[in-house]
Amino acid sequence: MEIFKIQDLTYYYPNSEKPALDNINLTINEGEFILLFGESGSGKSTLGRVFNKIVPEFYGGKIKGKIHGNEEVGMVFQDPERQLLMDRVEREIAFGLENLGVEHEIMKKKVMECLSFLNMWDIKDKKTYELSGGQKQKTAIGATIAMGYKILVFDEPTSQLDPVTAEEILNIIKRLNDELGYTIILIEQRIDRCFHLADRILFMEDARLVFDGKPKDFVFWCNSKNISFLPPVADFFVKIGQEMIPFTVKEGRKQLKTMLKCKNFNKKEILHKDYQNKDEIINIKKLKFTYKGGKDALKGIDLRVEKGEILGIMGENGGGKSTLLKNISGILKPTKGEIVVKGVVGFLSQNPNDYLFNDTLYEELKYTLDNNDIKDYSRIDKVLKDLNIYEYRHKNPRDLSGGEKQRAALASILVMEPEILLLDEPTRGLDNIIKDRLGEILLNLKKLGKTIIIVTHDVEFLGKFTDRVCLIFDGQIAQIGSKCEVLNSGIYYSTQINKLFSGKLDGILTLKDALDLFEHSPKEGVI
Amino acid sequence: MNYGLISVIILIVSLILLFIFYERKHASVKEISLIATLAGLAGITRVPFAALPNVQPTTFLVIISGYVFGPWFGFMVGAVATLVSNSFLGHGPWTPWQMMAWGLAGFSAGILGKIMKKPSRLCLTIFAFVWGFLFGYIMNLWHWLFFVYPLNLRSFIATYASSFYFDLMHALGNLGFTFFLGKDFINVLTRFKDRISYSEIPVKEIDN
Amino acid sequence: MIKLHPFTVIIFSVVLFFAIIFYNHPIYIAFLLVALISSLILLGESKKLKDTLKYSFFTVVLILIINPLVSNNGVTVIYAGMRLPIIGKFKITLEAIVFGIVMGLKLISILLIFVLYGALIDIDDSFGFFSKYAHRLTLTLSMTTNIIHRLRLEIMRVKDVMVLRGAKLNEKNIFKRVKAYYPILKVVLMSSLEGSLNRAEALYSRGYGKGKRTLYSKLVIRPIDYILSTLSLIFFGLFIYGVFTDKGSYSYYPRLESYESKDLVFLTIMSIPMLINLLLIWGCKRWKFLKYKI
Repeated sequence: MEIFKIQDLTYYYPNSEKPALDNINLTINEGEFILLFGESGSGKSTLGRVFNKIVPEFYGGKIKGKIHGNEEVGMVFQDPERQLLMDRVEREIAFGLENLGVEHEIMKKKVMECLSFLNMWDIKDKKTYELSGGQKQKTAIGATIAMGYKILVFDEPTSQLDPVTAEEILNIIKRLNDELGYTIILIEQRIDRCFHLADRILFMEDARLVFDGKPKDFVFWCNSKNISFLPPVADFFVKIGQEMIPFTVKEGRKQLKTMLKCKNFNKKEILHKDYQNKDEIINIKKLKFTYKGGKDALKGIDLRVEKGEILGIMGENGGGKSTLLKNISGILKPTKGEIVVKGVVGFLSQNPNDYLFNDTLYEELKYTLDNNDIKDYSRIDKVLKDLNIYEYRHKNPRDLSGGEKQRAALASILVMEPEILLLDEPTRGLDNIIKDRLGEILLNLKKLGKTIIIVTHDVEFLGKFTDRVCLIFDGQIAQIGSKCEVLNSGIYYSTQINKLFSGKLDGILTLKDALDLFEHSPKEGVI
Repeated sequence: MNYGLISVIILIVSLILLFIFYERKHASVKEISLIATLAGLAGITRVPFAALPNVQPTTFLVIISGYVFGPWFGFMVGAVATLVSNSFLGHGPWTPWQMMAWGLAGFSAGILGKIMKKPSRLCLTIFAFVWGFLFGYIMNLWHWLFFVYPLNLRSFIATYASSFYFDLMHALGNLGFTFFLGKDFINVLTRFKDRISYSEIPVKEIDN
Repeated sequence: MIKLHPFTVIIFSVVLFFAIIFYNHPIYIAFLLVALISSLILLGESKKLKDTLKYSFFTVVLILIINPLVSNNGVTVIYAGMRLPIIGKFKITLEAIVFGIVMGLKLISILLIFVLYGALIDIDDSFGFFSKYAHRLTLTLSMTTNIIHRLRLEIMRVKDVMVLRGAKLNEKNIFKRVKAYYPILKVVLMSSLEGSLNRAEALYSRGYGKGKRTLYSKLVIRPIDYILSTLSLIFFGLFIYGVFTDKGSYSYYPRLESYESKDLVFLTIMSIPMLINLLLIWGCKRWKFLKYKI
């Protein structure tokens, strides 16, 4: 049943010459689970906001075309912190109902049901600002579904969360669709986690809706256009020329098993060379750190980082990763133990906006130089060229797109010419294309002799771009070694491709590794 | 006559009237959100600068909010910032006085903005500097009215002299913030104001 | 803790506040102070009590010093000095010292009323109570509270970032320090403005301002609320009576007044409803009977 219909919709934000939506035609059916993809700035957020009329009622602007649909639509936003308005969870959930003028008794019931559905009884009396990111997002979802909306738009609801919490949120969204039959429109970057949930995929590019169809068709469409918006498993099977495309590891393994049986593929040795001993640049001995409140964040870390390597650090939230970075960068001083850092350290936090405050990109870099009494301004142009953002040097860095902003922030520290670069969750909220671009930049920096340490939850990214990986758990190092050693055959800390091949072939971490196996005879062995 | 009691009654009644006015004004969601945001910012900055006595950007932020968004807006930012930040820093009989003092700082800045569309940096700086002292004077008033007798020039001067150092630091802080940051921050706020005020224009259909 | 209706707490605190502000009688002030301190201890707020006493120390000392210095009024001169310009003849009198001490006690009592208020009021209930009459204001306040908590973390994060880019936040010179803080403030300002738009969107999509609102929290008014409020009103009536008949007043100048029994009797009568109030509040905390029956 059709519940929402958009015809020839074109929309301009106020004061803007470029359309944010260009001739959109779209029909939404009841109970559908729709994924809305697109690069940042493609207009997907704007389209998401059309459904509950934020565009154009809230923003104003110019509009052409028709929107049919009488149902009220609820919306959950990206940043969990910026959508909670009340002081307590229970009141937050009731807030929407109060606004709708719902009677007290019904309100009680709805709030109660909502708390039960989302399993939030334990936090119902908590202050909203004391919650973790995932709990906040859950509360926001609760506040929206309590209002009784049966069409829900989620605008990148997990982009600020770590993978475990993100999974939890996606599960809730799945249940809303499965158990309650709600219509879901999900804008999301974590493709590998939600691809298999979708009934239908929309893809936007330059304000236009360029793809609208089944996930399976999307896989082939993507492949033909060479757009990397697929989960690694699907990407692998489409690239080796399969007709049947599995979306999950489970289906993939099944299919791989039959394939491996009937195919004598070229079993090339996958070699991840172990790291050779070079000069050490960081040496940490028995590092302990205790916070003022008495929390032991680091309980004796020994770590040697070599010059010119990329080291990935993973681990639980609150396990001490960030504390370790802060100790290396010198913001925190070790409580006990010793850190020797030979060289200037640059630090990139997860939010590039934290860096950008000047009117032009050029001045942004100049600010860092002036602070450090460096007079050599020729560095600015050099760094901007290295990072491929030279053309924006006179633009306001805040007006750049997500990936460019991050490069601008990176430039503002690279201009100090640090020998060591620390990155905290650099891939959070980025789509695959921007992630790969970032990875290329890091590899380039490595060639220039920089040492890079990345703290992240993003296994796929580490699998592609690091040399060594270190797992930190409860303030201690659980494992450290080449990425192959650490990421191979993991349950959680392992890439999707590795999970696909696990037990069948060892040491395959990335799509490239997997494709290399099949490179000579891509079409053979098709069942 | 008990001036302390009278002053506090007048103060509380006028604050209540102002809040009733705010209730009735039908502020839009954007305004409510912006008042809360700027009040939050002004409120939190009462803490991190604590290392230097009385040097806080709070007054500066309240003043530029009022200057850009008008007298009522400025008043609300000042009053709400005080009310909320005092629930962390400690409520006391000073709360209504502080609310009034910061509220008036924002309000008067709003009037300044209405009178002078483009005041010089110097003018704004002097305005903020003066408010450093005015703020102290309003705060001294309750102290003087409540606990000092007799209420004459001599006791007035003595009370005010005792807080001179703190008021001076406050004024100097305001001076520094307004001089170095004033123009720039006003630009940021003005640009934002232009951006959000567009929605007031009704949606235009494009002709086919 | 016992749960009282916010109105009960507010009216009790306000009347108490008025009484303390208005009356200067040393015995009455001292008595109120003792009553407040002991009820706070009985209610288990000793820590807050101690903190308040500590923080108010400076102001109390200021009052103790300023009053004798500025007051020429008393007749019992303890120390007489030279003539000073503007201020006039410098002398310290016994009356002014006593007045200063009583005023210091008064200040402490006022601060303790705020502590008592904080101990008795339930923040959540008062939130519901106020949002009934002023939902825009309460919404603004709760949003501000959320924003402050977020900004606290954000400022710390941006501080780290800027320090690592070489910002020198520990400058001794106040102007240099202000300049060093500029990037932090600006980054936080710009991201808060973005946030304010996001929050407005959230308010909009939760249907705020679309029509008539209803209220989620319902406050129960229990018998104890009626009893306490009635007692507070009696207290207030007696207070007004005292104001207009000039009972219970006390003058320090020109010479310390001797105690008149009619004043003391009146003040004692006026204290009775207040004391009963305090006892009932304490009783509700102590005895199940009181807690559940009324």
